[in-house]
Amino acid sequence: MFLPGTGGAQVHELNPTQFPPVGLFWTVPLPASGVQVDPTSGNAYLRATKVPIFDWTSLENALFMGNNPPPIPGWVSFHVVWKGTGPASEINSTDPTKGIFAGTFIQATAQMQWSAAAGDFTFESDPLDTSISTFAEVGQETNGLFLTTG
Amino acid sequence: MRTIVSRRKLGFGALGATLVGSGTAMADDRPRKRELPWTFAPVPVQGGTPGLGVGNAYHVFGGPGQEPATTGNFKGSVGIAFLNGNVTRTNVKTGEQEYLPFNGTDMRFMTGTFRGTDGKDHQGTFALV
Repeated sequence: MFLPGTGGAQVHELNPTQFPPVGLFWTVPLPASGVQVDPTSGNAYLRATKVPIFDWTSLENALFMGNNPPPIPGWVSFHVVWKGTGPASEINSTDPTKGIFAGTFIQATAQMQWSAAAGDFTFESDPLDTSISTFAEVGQETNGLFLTTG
Repeated sequence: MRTIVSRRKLGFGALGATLVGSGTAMADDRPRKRELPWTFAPVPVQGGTPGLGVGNAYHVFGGPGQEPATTGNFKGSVGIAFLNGNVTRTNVKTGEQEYLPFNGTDMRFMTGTFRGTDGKDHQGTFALV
């Protein structure tokens, strides 16, 4: 989150803070019911409630796990909806900077509604349909050992 | 909710990782670990931009033509979105409210099969937040 206006300073950075060897990058496990996806249409939703996070204030502070200021524990709940717009495209990437993976991906639009709390603050986003996506896709992906073993 | 725009401004590519899971924060003076009662864990994806964060982490930003999954040895469904919108922040002590934008928030899901650090295949569902 940023202060309003062009170039507004970042004032909150909320993420689960998973780093190696502790965890995947800002990735958390969810119940299977948290995701529903139709790979054919590219429609999907992601939903979770009160996922533990920290507010690091800024991205730089989060990336390097700084104490300037110290992270503040909190939670975030979110609901993201994808709507496939097509077309589907095949990707087989061997470029390490883009990831080594293969899959089929459908272009999409997405919207999100969320809430959170950390420290002295609570957060409540505007309704789902007021948000927009600048990039979204849904797909089927294979990587790592499954690229060779199927 | 993290901001892909900010990381791009920083010139960072991405980080990598090995998930243990989420849960309650540890009682540490620099709380940064979360633990799950798992006996296995996923592994990070291959590739990405190295040299970030503690432990020389790496990560794929995501975007057109880039890998959305953060779990390695994975096959399944994925979704990624960069989202913009607005949020009302309330100071619970003072009641003061402020209307703030969230820009380029990167949200992802992965659901399918992954081979864990135990060498076995597992079903799992994950979100990058």
